[in-house]
Amino acid sequence: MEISVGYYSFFRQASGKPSEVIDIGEGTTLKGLVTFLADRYGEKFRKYALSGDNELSPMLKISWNGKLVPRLIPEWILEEGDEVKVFPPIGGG
Amino acid sequence: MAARGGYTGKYLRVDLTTGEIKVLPVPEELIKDYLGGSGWGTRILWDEVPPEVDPLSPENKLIFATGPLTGTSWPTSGRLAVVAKSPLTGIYGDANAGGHFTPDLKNAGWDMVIFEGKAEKPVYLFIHDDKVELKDASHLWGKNTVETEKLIRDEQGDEKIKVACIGPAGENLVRFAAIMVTHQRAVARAGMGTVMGSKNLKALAVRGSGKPAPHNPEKFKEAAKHARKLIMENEFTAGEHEFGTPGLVNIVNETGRFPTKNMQMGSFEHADEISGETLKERFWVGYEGCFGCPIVCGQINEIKEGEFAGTRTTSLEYETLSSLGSRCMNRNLESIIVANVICDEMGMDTISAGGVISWAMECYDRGIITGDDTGGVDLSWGNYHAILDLLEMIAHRKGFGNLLAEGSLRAARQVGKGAEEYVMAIKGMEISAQDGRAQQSMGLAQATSSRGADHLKGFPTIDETGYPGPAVKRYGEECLPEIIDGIQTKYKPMVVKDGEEFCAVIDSIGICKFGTLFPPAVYWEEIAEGLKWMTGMDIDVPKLKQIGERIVNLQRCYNILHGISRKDDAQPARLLKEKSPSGKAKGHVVELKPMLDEYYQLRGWEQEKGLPGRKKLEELGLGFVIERIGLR
Repeated sequence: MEISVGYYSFFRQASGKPSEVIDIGEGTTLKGLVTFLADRYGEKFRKYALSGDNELSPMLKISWNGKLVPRLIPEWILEEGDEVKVFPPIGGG
Repeated sequence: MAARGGYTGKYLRVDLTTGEIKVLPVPEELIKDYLGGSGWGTRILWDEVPPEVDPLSPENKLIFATGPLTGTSWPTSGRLAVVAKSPLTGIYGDANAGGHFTPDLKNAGWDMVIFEGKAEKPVYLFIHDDKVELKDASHLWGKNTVETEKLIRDEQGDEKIKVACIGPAGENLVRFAAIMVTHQRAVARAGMGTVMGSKNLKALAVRGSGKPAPHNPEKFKEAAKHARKLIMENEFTAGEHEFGTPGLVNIVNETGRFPTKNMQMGSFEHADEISGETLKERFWVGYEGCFGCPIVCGQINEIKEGEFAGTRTTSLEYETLSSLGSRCMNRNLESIIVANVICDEMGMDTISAGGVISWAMECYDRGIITGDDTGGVDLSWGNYHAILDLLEMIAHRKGFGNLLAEGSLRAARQVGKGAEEYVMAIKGMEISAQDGRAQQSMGLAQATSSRGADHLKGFPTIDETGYPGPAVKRYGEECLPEIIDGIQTKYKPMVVKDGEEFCAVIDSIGICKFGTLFPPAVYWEEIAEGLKWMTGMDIDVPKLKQIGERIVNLQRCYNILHGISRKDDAQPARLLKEKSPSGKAKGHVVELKPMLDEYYQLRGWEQEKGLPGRKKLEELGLGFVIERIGLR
């Protein structure tokens, strides 16, 4: 199934693009997506996406279908056409 | 008093009417009870600038103040505080800038300079250590701030002179004129540059050869090193360095906090086109940092081709990307870079400039202002050529720019026809780049800020996008999840009160809020430790909090003398009544009343007018205000 992913800050630098449509398997979880992207885009992506034990980083922020999600649940299942935006730690103004 | 760690013990009082320059000792009370910076300015305004003084009259005082950590090895120790009664709001005014100016003032041997009176002809004050002279500035009048700095350095034959100066906007008494300090950092809000212009004071130029001498050098060095380590290890610092404040644009756009179309909305469809990421990709050429700062958040951007080729700017901030970008529906990033340069060279606050232009655009859209009023300038949303033209017109008070130079509230009152409904300002100052409907704590902080609508007096960041780690560390796990949820009002009055007291201290000691409230690295404990070893004073966290609370309350009392009360701790009707259409804030308004009730209660202020109580004032050593503010 296809979902669109938007990249910001360091994630944009790591992926080399502002966004893209990617094809992932049915039933992919949020953690599955982030791990897939970390594997694809390397250490700069991984550093801000996953913690030392390969869980979702507590500093990762996700906007899901236009809403910034307050708390990430790794087991959330993505659906066809979802729009996910990924942000490393940003704030201050 | 004699010098002690953090203080030279001396200040200058410059009477611009007579030309007399006095060297005076800094009173012990000011040091002990108000620390420096804005704290000193607050007490001096209370003592010397009563309500009947017009802000543009010679009787207003313009105070440049350092702090006890200025120019030291403490990280971010290059900040300057400037305080005066504001010509934009008519109440307490201050502004603060980084850059490289202030350490030289301290190193020259001066804790503070107070200007009073008005010079007959344009002058500048030149300080080289203990040599202090008023110089003729007639040849500098009319020059922009970049030219002024260069000309002063050339005529004094010293490239290392640091300059704080006004441009044409200050000279022409634009009510939101800024003072620009080396290197192109702005003492921006509340019209401090306007006061400088009203005194015919073009610049303050300094060169200092001394060095700070901590009370306990070893312990202070340790404390400063620890503070630096906390900042550099903080999870947010890398991003702050890499993208600067522009890095905020896209994420706050998702929350609905990015003021758009004169705050009709909180998200801009074209936010990414004017974001930190796009700046980095298209125009970035380097970093620029302020004195003593390890974060180095300043971004240098240069346009190499196209209509605006050759334009280069340092530190185009998030605020400007909103005020002259999304607020005006302007998606042309190059034009915002040019606009930033114009404001820096003319010496103007970009937030108020964008605020008044976007107000005018909404009025134009609604037919309240027409092409006849604007002299043919087409104020259609997003017309960036009009924005650039208007900035020059405002700085020179030409044509329609003369009206806008008054600020949005005064301009609206002159226009009439319901124009005031679209003014997005509080206490007369244009709201900064935070839509309070998406971040309730900011909605409260803007309403209670002593200098008018502002994000930096309280600077709540804990619920901006919502990271639990910093919130738990500062406020405890029991406050989750509401404390990090921007839409929730619970705990926000407590956060704003704490933030206001902390920021009052930061603005009084000469360091930046970056590295303290954001990135959330250094806080009360570290600051108290640093001050103790720098000054030798008996300072701990409770004493420091009391100083912060004292300064906040005295600013409040000063404003009460000028007629401020609960009715002014407000938000525009739009943000109180029109539900946000944007992002996470969709469907929400600023829930101000319950937050303000709780805030007053926490502060020990009565509910009807927001008057501090007698007991609170006496506890803070402010008993001397009681009679003047009319408390029984």
